[in-house]
Amino acid sequence: MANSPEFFLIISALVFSLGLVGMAVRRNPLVMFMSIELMLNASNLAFVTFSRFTTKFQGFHGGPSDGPVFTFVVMTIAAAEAVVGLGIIITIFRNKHTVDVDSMATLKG
Amino acid sequence: MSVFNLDTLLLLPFAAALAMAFMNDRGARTFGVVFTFVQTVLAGYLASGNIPLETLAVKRLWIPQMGLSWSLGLDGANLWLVALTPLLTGLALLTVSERTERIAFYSANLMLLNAMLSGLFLAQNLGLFYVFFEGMLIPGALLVAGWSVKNGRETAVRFLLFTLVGSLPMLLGVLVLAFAGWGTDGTPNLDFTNLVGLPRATQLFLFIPFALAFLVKMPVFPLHGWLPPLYRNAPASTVAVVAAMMSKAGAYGLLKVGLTVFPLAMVEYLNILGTLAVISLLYGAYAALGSDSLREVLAFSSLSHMAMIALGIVTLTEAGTAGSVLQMAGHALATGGLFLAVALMEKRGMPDELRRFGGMANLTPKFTVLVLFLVLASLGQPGLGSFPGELLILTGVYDGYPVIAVLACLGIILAAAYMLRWYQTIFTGDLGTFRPPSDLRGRELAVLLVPVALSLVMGLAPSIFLQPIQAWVAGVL
Amino acid sequence: MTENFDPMVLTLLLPILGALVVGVAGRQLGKTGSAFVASAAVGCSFLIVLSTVIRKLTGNPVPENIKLWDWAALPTTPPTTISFGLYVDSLSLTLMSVITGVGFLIHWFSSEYMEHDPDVPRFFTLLNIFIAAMTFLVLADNYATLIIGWGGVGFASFGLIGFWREKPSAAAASKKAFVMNVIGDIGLMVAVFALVKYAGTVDYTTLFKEVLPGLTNNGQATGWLTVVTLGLMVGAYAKSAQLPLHTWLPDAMEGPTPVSALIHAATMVTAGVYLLVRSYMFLELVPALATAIGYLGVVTALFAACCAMVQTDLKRVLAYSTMSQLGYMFLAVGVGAYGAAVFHLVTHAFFKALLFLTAGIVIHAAHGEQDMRKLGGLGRQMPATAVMFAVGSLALAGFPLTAGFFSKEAILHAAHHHPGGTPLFVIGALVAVMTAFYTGRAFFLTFLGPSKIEHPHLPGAPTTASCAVLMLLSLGAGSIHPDFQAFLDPSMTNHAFAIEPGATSGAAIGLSVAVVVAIAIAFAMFGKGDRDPLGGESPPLVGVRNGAGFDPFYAFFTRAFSALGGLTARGSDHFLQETLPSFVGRSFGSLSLVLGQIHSGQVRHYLLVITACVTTLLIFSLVMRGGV
Repeated sequence: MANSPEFFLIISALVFSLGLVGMAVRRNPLVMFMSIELMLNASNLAFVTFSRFTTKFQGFHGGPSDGPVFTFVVMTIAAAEAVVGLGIIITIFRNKHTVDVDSMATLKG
Repeated sequence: MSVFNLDTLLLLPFAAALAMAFMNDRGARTFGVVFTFVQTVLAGYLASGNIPLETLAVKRLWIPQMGLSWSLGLDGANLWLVALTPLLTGLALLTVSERTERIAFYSANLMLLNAMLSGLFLAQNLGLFYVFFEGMLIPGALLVAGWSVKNGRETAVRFLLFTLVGSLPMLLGVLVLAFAGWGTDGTPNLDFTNLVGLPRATQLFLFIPFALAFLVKMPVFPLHGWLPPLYRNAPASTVAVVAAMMSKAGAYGLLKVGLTVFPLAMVEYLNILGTLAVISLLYGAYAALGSDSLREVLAFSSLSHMAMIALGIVTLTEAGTAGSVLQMAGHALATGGLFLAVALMEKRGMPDELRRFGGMANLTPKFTVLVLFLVLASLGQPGLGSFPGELLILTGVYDGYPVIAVLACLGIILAAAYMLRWYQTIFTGDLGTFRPPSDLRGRELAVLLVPVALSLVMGLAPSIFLQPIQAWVAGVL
Repeated sequence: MTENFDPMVLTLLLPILGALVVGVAGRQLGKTGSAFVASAAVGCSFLIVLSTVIRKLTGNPVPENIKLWDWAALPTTPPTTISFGLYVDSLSLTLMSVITGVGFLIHWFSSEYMEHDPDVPRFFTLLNIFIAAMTFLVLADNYATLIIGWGGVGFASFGLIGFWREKPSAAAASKKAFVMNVIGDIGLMVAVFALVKYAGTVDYTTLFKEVLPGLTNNGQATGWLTVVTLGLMVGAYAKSAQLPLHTWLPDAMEGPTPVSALIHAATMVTAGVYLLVRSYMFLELVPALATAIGYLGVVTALFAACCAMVQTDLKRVLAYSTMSQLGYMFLAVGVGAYGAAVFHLVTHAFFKALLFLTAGIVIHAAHGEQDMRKLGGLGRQMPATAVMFAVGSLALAGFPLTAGFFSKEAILHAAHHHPGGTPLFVIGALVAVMTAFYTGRAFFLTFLGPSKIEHPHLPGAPTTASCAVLMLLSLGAGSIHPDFQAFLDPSMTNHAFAIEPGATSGAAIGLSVAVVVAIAIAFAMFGKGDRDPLGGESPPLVGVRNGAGFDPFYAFFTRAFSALGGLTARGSDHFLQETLPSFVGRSFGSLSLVLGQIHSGQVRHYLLVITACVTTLLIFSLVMRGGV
């Protein structure tokens, strides 16, 4: 079971769906960030899985190296996003005294 | 290389426009008049035949990646348009009222319009042609938006929207022609000489956006919605340039691009274009007969006359095409002259409603005589400028379509009716409420005498004008 | 250019110069100066024409075709050059003599007649423009540049009919004349189109000496010849006020009387006759149209005579009589008697100019009154004028041995001897009798009976003198007809001139008697000058007086066109300018409102849409690959 990619991919899909649902149903931006992290990490899992189980272009871990590399990129972006996002949330909170995302719809058409 | 070349001819007005924008009001106008005069003389010198026209051609790389080159040339098709553009701009500058706000900027814009139009007529590269075709919208819209009698912004926006709807598809067409790799070595090259002999299917497809752009610009029924409001509202001196020269941009495009790049498509769509032209010819005539606005009558007459020019081009006969090119000049003189006359009277507080006019002949006898000449020139009086053009156009039309020629003749009869109605309402009968305080004086007389005299020459000896045109037409068809 | 110079060029140049000088410096010249310059220009022109005629008569060579410059090149194969040139043959010289000769007399007459008008320089400028345009009409050497003269006289006529610009009726009449004449121009243009297309030339010399004789040998009248002839006919009919394009002529009497004499009697209206005579080879090739011209001519003559009988306005009697006499000329053209047509054109120019000018004197004398019912008894007050008017009337009526008698008799004679021309002859003779009757009526009502005008304004020397010259011509011009025939012949190479010693023929004697009787009847009815049964106000009389319904008929079209114009300018164009663009604009606005609703601003909605779309795309791509 641990030798087939399906197991990891299904977990990845589940985690991604969890993040998606969390994103859709929660109104607290902090929780939504956590959901985003879940989705990003789900994709990280998928990257690593594919890298591990691909037989072509063997790298030094037995798979091609772009999967792990992309994981690092995603993690970096996630960190950057969290920093900027938290900054925005704090600014919004200072201005509006709420962080409920449903009340932030001033850019709608 | 002497300074008398096409680069100078085109860069001169651009430089002048730039300089004028930073001058004071009085200086800018004088400077502009002098510069247009210089430009006219230069154009006239280049056109006079002292130098073989082919040796004048200029070609420099500009954006080779897109096939765009700075390539200019003078030939029978654009010769008279190139010469008349600065002339009419200069005359228009002379009619600008001293009470106009920001005269310097206004004059600079007129100069820029003149520059763009000169560029358009001179361009021998489709990309360059497109740049000027759109470029003239900038001064045009500014002039209309900033100095209109009323509803300036609305009129300008309408003008922009109509022409852009026509010309943005044309941009796509230009890009396709640039990147589809026709031509000698597959690199993008938009020179007209390189675009000859496109495959038939390509021509049929790509001609549509081009035709749309030209028909809107000309304009032709039912795409003329921008024309009456613009002619009604815009400052008269601007309208003089727009009616005389800018309206020719569309016709010239149809002539130049249509005949050189899309000859097979012109043959294919001849019936549609011809029908549109005939409808627009009669429609404009009827509308002019029924309009109560002084400027609108001229606007509709312009619609009708431009349709006659279009009709001549789409006949694809030597007579019709040569007649169209000649009539472009003839119409520019007549209609341009009439709007110059309007501009001169607007300085004296002229209203626009025809019912407020009457009996002006006895108040302003000199003005009356000159306007009468222009009216006659406009309605195609034999012996004046529009007649030889119309005669040739209709000869061409008759060659293939006798019935259409007779229908177009109905347009000439209607032209006599509406132009005389216009003239008589203003100048004969009882005195109206508008009484001009003075007749034309000195410089103002000259402003109207120039188009009248040229029109007379064109009517009595059109061969002077026709010879280069016919040489060009024979080469293209 | 220099080797092409001939004094005839000056006949064109002089009136143009005159118009320029008077037009530009009229105020400085003053009334007398303007009149002098304009008259001198035309007078010198006349002398040149006269010298050319003498040159020709004495056998000195006169260049037939004087090419001045190239007007335009026709894109035929090989290209044909249309020259701006003069064509001087007997026909154009005859016309030129009339135009400049009668033109000079009328200029002279006007110098006194118009002296109280505030706008004398403009009047003479326009008169000179007219002479120049008419000169070019007659002298043009091809059909294309002919239109320049043709349109030019139309413009001059427009300017002179509407000379009194503050009169709305004059403005309306001038516009009507102009538009009608543009219809004629179009006819000529169509003829030119067809000539260019099929004959490849519009040049007289080429056409008449090369193209058309070749066709005659074929004996085949092809379709294009019909088109050309029809086009020429339309031009001629509009210019010469023939049915059905005649309605402008009676209204043209709004202009000053010398104008009526010069343009609407002596010269311009006869341009149609000139055109058809010039183009007689076309008529020979299309005999059906020639017959039609003959019949339409005689019908016009009859119609106009009927209208003339019941007019109350002196000038309108003369206008209708002009139309009627022009009908005679067209009749002559129709039966192939081109020489007779031109001869009648010449004599008519003399006596009709005389009649109009004396009518002008009468109108001045009567302080502007033109209604014959209010005139009367002027014979005693101004006997000289009465005599001159009487001579003009007799010539118009065709009284034996006057100029009109010879020319009219020549036409009727030709009609009589034309195959199938008997109906033409009969109606023509009837019209001659009617002419005598209404001319008599006009004279008697105006000059006999009790005096109704107090202190008539008496004419001065120039007016009387110019009328006297015309009177002598009206009396004596008939005697030149054998010489005239010899002079005119070369223009019509194939055709003998159809004037025979008329006075000896039986028809001529019968006609003379009928004319005398008609005048006698007129004298019996109107001789007392106080009773006018035909001047009543009963509906049929008024109907015929107002032109028998042609005007309302055309007015209907004019109104329909104007209404259509109003509908176009205010209705459909409003739709195209306002309704349609604003509809397009608004629909884009509403579309953006609808599409804007999608953007709720709620992140979860966007998320859902994105998820749904991505999922759909994934499934779609899987299905398309055939995977799953």
